[in-house]
Amino acid sequence: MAGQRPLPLFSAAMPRRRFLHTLGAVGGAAVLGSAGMPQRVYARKGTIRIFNNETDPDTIAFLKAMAKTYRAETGVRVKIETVPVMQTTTKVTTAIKAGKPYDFIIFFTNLAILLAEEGQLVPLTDIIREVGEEDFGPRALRLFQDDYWLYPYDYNFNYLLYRKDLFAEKGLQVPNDWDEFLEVLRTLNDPDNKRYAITLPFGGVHTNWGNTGFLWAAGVEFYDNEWNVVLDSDDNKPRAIRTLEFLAEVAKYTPPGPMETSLKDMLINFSSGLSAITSYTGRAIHTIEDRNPELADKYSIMSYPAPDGGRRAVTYGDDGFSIGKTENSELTVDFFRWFLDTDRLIDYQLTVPLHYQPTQFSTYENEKWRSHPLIEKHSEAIETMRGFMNTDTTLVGSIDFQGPRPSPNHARLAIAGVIPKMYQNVLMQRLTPSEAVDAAAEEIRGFTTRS
Amino acid sequence: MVTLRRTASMALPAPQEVFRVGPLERRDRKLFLAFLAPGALLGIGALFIPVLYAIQLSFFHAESFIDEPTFVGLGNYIRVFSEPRYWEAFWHGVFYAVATVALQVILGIGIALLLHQEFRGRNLLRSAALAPYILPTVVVVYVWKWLLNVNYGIFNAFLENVGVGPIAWFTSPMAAWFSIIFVSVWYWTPFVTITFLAALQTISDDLYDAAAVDGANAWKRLIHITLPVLKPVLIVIVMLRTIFMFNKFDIVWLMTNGGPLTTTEHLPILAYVKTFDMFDIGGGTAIATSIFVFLALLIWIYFWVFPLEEH
Amino acid sequence: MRKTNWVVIRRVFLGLLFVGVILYSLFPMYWMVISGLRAGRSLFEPLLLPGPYSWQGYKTILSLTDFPTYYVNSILIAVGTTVLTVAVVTPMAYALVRSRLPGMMLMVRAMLFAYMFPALLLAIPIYIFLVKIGLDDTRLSLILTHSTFTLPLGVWLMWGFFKNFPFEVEESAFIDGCSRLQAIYRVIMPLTLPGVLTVVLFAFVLSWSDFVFSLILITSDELKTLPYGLASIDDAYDANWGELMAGSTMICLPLLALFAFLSRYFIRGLSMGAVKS
Repeated sequence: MAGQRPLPLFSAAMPRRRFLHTLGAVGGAAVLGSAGMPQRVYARKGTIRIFNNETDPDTIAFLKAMAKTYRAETGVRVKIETVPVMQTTTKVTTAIKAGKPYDFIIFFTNLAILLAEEGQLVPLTDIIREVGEEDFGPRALRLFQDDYWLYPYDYNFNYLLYRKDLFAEKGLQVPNDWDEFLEVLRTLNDPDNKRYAITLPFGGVHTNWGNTGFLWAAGVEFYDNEWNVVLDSDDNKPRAIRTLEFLAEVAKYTPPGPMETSLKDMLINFSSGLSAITSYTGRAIHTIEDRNPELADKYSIMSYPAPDGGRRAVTYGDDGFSIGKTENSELTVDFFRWFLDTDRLIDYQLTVPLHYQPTQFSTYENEKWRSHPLIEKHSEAIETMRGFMNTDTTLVGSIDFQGPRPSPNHARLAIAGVIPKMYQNVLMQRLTPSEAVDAAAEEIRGFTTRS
Repeated sequence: MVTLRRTASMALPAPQEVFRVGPLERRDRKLFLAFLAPGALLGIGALFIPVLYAIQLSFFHAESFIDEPTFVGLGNYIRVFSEPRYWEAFWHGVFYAVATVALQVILGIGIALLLHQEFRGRNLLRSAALAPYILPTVVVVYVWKWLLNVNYGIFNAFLENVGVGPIAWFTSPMAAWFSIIFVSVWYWTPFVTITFLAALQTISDDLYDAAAVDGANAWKRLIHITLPVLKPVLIVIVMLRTIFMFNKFDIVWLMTNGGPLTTTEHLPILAYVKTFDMFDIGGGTAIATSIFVFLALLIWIYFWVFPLEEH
Repeated sequence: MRKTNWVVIRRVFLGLLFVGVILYSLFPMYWMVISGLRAGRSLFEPLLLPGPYSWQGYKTILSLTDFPTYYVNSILIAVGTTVLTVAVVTPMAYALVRSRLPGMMLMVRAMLFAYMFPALLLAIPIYIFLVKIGLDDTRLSLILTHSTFTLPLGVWLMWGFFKNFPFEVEESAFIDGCSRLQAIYRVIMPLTLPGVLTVVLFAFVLSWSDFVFSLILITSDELKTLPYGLASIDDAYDANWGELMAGSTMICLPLLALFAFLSRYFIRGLSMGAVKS
């Protein structure tokens, strides 16, 4: 029972890890405690299988504690199956093919749409309408075939984190356009002393999220409203070429080997001081807190500038919950309602508080959420992140927003790695920017469906 | 020389002796069948059925494993074979297999000869030299990714001290090939070494002594005694390694993803990319099947050229 | 005089080669162990004899993941695979050598096809098949699958072993009135130990190392094996190289210790069997 109370257990000095240990212990104690109570008559039986690709140990610990509580309360078993995020598609589709689909899935929109199209999910429209569609921030909710299929809990905005102490030292301002941005990079870069200006990925599927902000800021589009590929149209091609030329220039100010930069490298390079700017989410702040707390007050956040100034951009990453169409669907819907009604969504988001950026306006007003020590400590960063939800100043871009509506085309565009290939063709000087755009457009036409 | 060769072959049992049919063979036929059954069942259940299933998929068009497949006959094969990317990957695979097998065999024989010497602490040194063989692939990949990390790796740190680099070991085309070949050879040479070492132990010392009396020097002893003994092992090892390396997916995938672009993409990676990244199950399984057919053909020719005495 | 010089040069040369081979083989493992023990940011300063040291990487892994559970699973599955492999392979190889049933060699060769098909594309049909017979997501499913892949080489090893086995050994037992089964049990089994040991090590290593099949066939967290568990840790973004190297060390050390002890029997077993022509 104690596990359900809001947590008065942490002090501001308590590191995140220890806090979660306490949480786990409390969850355990709750179960042990219930053993002494009169035996419950379990109202229902059954097992809900949760597919989880949030591999943060703290999130996993929370889910396990939650499963115990739910079983104690309802008799329904909840089984958490954590899978590395890169294996999500393989694992989820294999499970369906084999006739053992997951009941509750923690993943992302474009795969949810693929599954919805195959009739493998139940709509969450009712639940989301009960919560209120207006509570969700811009572009968080996505209708597909007149229904919502994913309940988003994390914007996963990709933006730029930068060292404000180094900016101040060199008298630099947040750049407003690309020329200023390059000037900043030039000033910060100091390869002789192993200090580089910026870390961005130029290879691997994580590039789709980790380094597309400049594309969106430049207004590059891949599809029109009829699913025609317009990347190489008269409007878009010059923008795309300009972005590629700009990125090729940016790549000169990265640590060596930008094409092999992994998500891990982005975090390490920034927290170890190797690079002054990196793209990421609030996860990077957690890394600083855990690995190099000296930097905790020396960073700041900015969005991607547009080529000639004006509305800036961030890249949307979206993580959410879906419910599979299985024999347990009803059971799972009940579980999810319980999850929302008992405010466990907030607890869940607080397992990595600076990383999971809430998609609901109400969360930012939630007392429990606001009073978390890390949220309080990094309130300035939180305000900036929240500011990205203002569509007047910030464009929220993503592969997922190309074309008229959610579609399996987005998953294809992402997984086929068209964008990183375009970058690499330019960086390796295999193709000119113009040829790289043509090649990408050609490839996209090859797999696009118009349904 | 002639005498030497004869002495060498005398140490080996004549091939005909191998299959001695016991008088009780007929009576024990049921027992033999019972001995064979579990292995056969396992092979059929966990191997033949899945292989047939995968081959069958190659005649269908499906976008995912949950999609309803439609029959397209040989369509997938025609489509796949007409892509330049397929043939590029094919030759990458040939290059990777030839390079890694050759290096493994040369290094393997060399190290085996070295470890066959008599010296104190030999067993410990042997264990040390053979140790990479027992590491899990995932560990090998992590350790080498860390050693070869472009910014924090010890290799680049060393190179920088002597004024070279830093080298992006997984994304410069040449370096990427070097890395996957080097790590593959590092990982799998011990298997070859162990086998050759074991073969070397079957040579009796008398043979060498006799040769020494005949006045054969170390080089001649190597050519006329040692290598002939290694030959049958060599034949089997080269075949096994070739199958293995041509099909090796995990090391290459985990280290370079076939990149940069498609620089290190060979057929198993292309099969994977088609199946899981390009939503083309039929194309992916068609490629897998083509690997299978190619290897089967290769082995058939191989055994025709180098018949094993036993068969 | 000249002769002694030559001997000295040879010894020095051989000595250098040994050092080279040892460095080549062991340095990556040395670096793995050292990196797992390094504290905080010192990890990113590549020094040969580094410090300061800390157990933090180990503590993080052990407190935040189910590494002990993965250990138990890996051990159970590897032991299971080993036992099953030996149990299946030994009689099979014996039958192959001593019987003359038609199509024998074809069967052995057909098994080699196991190595010719990309593992991941096999894993999915295997998974589907296992779900149909209700065996998916169990340790047994991994034991069965791993055994399929140990089978061809295991049969090859034991087959080489038996074919060098003089038939007279059994024959004398037959003359004493033993049935074949008795002869196998009493006479042959004890003599096959070195060969069996070779298969044991081979099967154990294959099962212990596998990642692809555990990824596809295992879904429950509590049934994951070590390599799968380590891969999951890699994906937890804030896991650092220190934790990864600590985890890698924990996976490898027991095996390395076992191998240091067993390798000589392994080589002896091989030389008595498969490679003897």
